[in-house]
Amino acid sequence: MSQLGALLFDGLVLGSSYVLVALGLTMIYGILRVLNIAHGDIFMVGAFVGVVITARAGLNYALGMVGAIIVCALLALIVERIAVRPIRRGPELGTLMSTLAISVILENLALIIFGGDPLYLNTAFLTFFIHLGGISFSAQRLLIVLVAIALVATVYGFLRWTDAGKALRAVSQEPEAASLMGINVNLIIAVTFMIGFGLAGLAGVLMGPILLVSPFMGQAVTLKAFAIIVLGGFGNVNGAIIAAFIVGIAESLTAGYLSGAWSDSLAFIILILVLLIRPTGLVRERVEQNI
Amino acid sequence: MITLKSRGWQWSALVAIAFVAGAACGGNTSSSGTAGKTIKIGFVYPLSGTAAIYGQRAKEAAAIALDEVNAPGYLPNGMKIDALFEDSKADPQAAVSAGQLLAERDNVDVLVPDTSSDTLAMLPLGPEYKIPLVNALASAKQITQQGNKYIFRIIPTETQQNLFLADYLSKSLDKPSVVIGYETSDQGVGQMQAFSAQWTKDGGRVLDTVGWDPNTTDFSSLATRLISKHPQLIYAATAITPMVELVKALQEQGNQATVTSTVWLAYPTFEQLAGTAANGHIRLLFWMASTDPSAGAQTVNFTKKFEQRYGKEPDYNHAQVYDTIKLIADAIKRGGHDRASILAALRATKNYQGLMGPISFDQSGQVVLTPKSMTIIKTVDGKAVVLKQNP
Repeated sequence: MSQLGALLFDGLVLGSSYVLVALGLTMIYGILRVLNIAHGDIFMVGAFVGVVITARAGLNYALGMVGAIIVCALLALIVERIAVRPIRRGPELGTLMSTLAISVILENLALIIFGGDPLYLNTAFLTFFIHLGGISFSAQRLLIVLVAIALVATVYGFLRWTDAGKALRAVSQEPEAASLMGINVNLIIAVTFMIGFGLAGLAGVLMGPILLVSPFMGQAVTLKAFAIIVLGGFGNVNGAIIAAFIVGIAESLTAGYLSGAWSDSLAFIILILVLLIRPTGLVRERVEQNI
Repeated sequence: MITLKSRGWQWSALVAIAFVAGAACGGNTSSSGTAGKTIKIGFVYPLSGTAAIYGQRAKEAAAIALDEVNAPGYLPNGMKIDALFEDSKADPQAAVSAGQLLAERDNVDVLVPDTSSDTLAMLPLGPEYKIPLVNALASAKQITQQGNKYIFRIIPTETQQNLFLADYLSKSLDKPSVVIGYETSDQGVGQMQAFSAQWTKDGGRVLDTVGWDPNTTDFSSLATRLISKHPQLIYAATAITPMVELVKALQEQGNQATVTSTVWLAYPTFEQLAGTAANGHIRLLFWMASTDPSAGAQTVNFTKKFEQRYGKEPDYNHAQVYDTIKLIADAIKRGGHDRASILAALRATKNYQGLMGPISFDQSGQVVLTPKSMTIIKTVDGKAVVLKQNP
């Protein structure tokens, strides 16, 4: 069995889960300069939706995935409406506090409803093993990579080539001018939130089987996602994608060759090192093309 | 804006008076006779997080033990026992806060700490509150080696556990080689060091030693690393939830080595959670549920009561908590009615018959080893096969 091959594939899996979360986070920042502290908790909500639909109700895992996206997209509308829109014109600290409040509320609601025990989200993919090129892995991991690639490509294409995507980029650059051009700014903002939350929720239901589902599972995810978007440049979609995979692969190689105790802090070690050399992040930021 | 006038002082005075009044009311009522007194046991166990499974089991077992000890006539003078639970979060700081809360706000008479890390952090609470600490879960040897006069531990130490396991395994393998994996908590590190030392003493080889964070649940990269050296044995020192994920990851990657551990994994909980990934696993147990008369009346009764109440078999984590409460009840029967007298009664314990065997304490508060203390089992088709009992 090829150790390096297995570790690289693992890194790909980790990177895939990170990219889904970081992409949404960076888009939300890009459009509103709002740092969503609750983003990791949206990941957690997606995982719990998966538990309720697939593990408890016994329905198809695909339904669980769709359910997670829908629930989190609806949650996005609620959060945007009550925690962001009324506050975003004030001092920046305002949305930081309001999203922090959402985070605390979501975590404790989950604790009250589901308890503190980690829950299992078992899928048929988990126990279907694939042997390829000297490495073995479960279909679940392959699924994560494939879904992540598909979705990232879709979002990228959406932003680059569709009118709605262009409108989104316009709003992120200059909301006043965009609204003068006839773009419904509030709608675009809501759509951005829905995309961001939907991606995070999907990441949660995909990773739930591997990480086990518990109320505070999103905290570590939030921190890493933040490190990744700083690495990639705030609001920079290309940067977030690249950084997510770099961190994922680096973590896997560290756990595989050095020590599992370091892999969790690795994202932040990389962050510090990169920022020392390049304060604006990995990918050069061309200000007028943030998204 | 900074102002100098302050109208707050009236409110501050009111609050201060309220505090004093509250403190006076919450103070200890005099122990003028123990008739009908409720002895409170404060459990500091994980109620959330990856270790929450221990807290949940503790509550299940406590309910059964409390039913027995609170039956009319069981305890002298109509005394009763109550078990209070606070979340340790399997974090030493949270555990110490929880312990202080139980000792101060709830005035518990005994504290029951959980993991090694938490117990070590909570040791100073013993002399600070003059309160006995009874532990049934922590294996770190330092717990009873620090000269603390308030700690009692009713399970064997990591050194004793690993001596038994390493000895047995190194003798049953040809050219024994092992890769050691461990979580970086106090208990994980202690177990790793104890096994490593004994294994090397017995002439075995240690090919690699790999550490991980106790909250790890994704073991894919770590499993790759553990397998890569092609050992005959993989020794893993980590709690049940991460262990289940670890053996699943090992299975996913086609592992051929035997996985082994000391006492971390309850039976049959581990088999139920890990499924086929548990097969071939060799580990230590302190106790197994049984309805076979040869296991002894106490084990059979407890197993039957538990199955009746919860519809599932109890495991040794349940036995640990059950024994803890029944032992404290025994101390009460021997004259314990507050912190100091319970402490003295516990110290004087001689051959109290618990589920996990007879309990007597040495001078440091450590339970004395007996033939019933430990058993080595192997999981075959989801069932435990006994390989060896503690000699």
